[in-house]
Amino acid sequence: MAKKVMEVRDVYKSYGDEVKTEVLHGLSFAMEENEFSSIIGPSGSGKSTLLNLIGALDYPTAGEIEINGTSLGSLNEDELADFRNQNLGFVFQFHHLLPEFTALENVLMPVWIEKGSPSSADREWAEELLETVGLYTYRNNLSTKLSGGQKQRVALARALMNRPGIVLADEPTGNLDTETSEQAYDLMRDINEQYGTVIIIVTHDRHLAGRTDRIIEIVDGKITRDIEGSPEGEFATWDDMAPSYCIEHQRVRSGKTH
Amino acid sequence: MWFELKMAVRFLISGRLQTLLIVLGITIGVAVQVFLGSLIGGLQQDLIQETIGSSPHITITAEDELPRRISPEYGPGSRVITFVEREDNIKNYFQIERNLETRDDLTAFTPAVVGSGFANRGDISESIVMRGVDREGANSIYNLEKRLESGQFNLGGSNVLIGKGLADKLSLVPGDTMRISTGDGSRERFSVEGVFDLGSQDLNNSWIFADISRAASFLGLSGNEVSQVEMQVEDVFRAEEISSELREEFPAMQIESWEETNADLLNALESQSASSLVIQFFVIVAVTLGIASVLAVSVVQKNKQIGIIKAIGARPKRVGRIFLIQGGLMGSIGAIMGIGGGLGLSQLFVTLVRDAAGDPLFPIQLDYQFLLISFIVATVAGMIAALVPARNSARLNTVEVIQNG
Repeated sequence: MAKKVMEVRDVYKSYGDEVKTEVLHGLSFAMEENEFSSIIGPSGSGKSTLLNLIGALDYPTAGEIEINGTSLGSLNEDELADFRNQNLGFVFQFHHLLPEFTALENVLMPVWIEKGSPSSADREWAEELLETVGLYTYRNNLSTKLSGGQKQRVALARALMNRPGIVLADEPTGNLDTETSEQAYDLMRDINEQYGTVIIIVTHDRHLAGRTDRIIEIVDGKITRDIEGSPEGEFATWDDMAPSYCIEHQRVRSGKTH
Repeated sequence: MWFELKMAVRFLISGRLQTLLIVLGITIGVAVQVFLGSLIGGLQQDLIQETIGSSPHITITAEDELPRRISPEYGPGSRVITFVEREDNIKNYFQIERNLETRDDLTAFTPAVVGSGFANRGDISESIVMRGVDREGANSIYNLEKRLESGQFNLGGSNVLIGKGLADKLSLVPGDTMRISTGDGSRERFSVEGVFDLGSQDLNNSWIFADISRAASFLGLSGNEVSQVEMQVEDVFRAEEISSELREEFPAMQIESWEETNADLLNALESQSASSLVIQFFVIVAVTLGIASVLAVSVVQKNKQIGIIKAIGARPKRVGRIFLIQGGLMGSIGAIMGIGGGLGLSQLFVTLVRDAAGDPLFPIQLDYQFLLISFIVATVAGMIAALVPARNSARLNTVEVIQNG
């Protein structure tokens, strides 16, 4: 059996002090080495909240999250920051490069944060990553001079800089057109295969989710489906399948009351 | 720290106009501070120089009133007779001289014989103060050679130097002779060798310098008596301290420093310094508030960047440090430019503002310690101004920022 890289055990999350709103109601799942998975759900389902928790950006109200053998709840804010730097890569929906820096500098950012200035080996690795995402020639361009798709590819290179075991991609194709979305997807696939990096895509794009190897569907803060498959096999028709919340919705339309 | 510095520099560069404006603000603030400080420092030094540059800083005279009691010998019932013996002269000068020679905080000391009398020429009679001095010693304290308006700096025999006020009143020029008489009835002729200007009307109207042994015999002092010992000290603001030390050594002597005799001047200078400090303080406060407001805006503008670097692993404290460094950088760059500007202004002032003779009114004081302090104050003020923005940036909620794009 493959090694577990992430385990989420009975995680709850609620917000607010006086009026508590529970967003996640006891989620549990695990991720193994080399996984290429997606978490999908409609907006408001709690998938972004889950992303923040497994991204070590926030603490769960109850339950435990373990990544690479470290229980995140045992880390303080500073340790959590160091943990993110070393173990997690992020690709955000709004690409989020630093406009004050060049493409190469953006890729090197995790190293800068970690140790102040990069070694020549770090530099070579950053250039290799830019090569991988096909932007080596743009390495000295200010990030504001790059197109949306290019920015997202640089962000992907940055996410890989510190060789994290896991890359979390939040709506990675959300702002891209069909063609550049396709490129971004192919790139994530390549990286997953080439470096063995676990890639978790958080999206509401059913088409994109259907092209991963595992789909975890969240509705109203609960896992409603957790299906393994492959883009060519089980998920070939996934795009046509109605989401679970729609089925429920259709029942209402067919006249049944709760 | 490299990461923070790099971020700070990039943030400052990317905020071009903002950065430029606030650095300009600091530059002006520091320039005003440096200009004002140099101006007032120069003015004060000039005033002090004018006041005491060519006069003794500390003067030792004999305790002039020694009370004596005569009583027990006369037995019970007899009247107690007390009287005051006037002791005008210092008898133990050599002892004082030996002591002063061991001090390294004096630049000069010299004995003087002082007595008053009248100078007569024809029908005119003017009251004078005769000072018998040692030629070199007096020159080092009164700078006599340079202050001679006419004639020669020659004090041998019956030669005297007189003040220019006295010379005018008695119509004396070098080469003339004059009669001087004392209350004791001494009356002798002296030859005027030179006329000096000590910069004070009082002194110019009454002082006469003569050779010390000649003056002693004329004024009726015995060979080893002197009236006073005058000295100049290395650091004029230590005069009172040195006086106190001397008072302990020579309790029977009366010892006065210029700081005592010019207490009014010192008070005035101190109030001037205080008001200059108040102005400088408020300049710094204004500059600090300026930096604070710009950085507060910058934190909001860089919201997104702060969120990203926090997400990819920058600890909150380090994010705060980026803004502290920005404040410090703006402060120190502004300070360097301001110091340059302030010195330029001072130079301009010296060049443009001149007295009737075309000389600068007073020299501008260039105090490196003061410049260093200005630099440090501006840098620290910049960092203090950055405290609140830095705290806000450290507290910024990463999750909110990255999700709201």
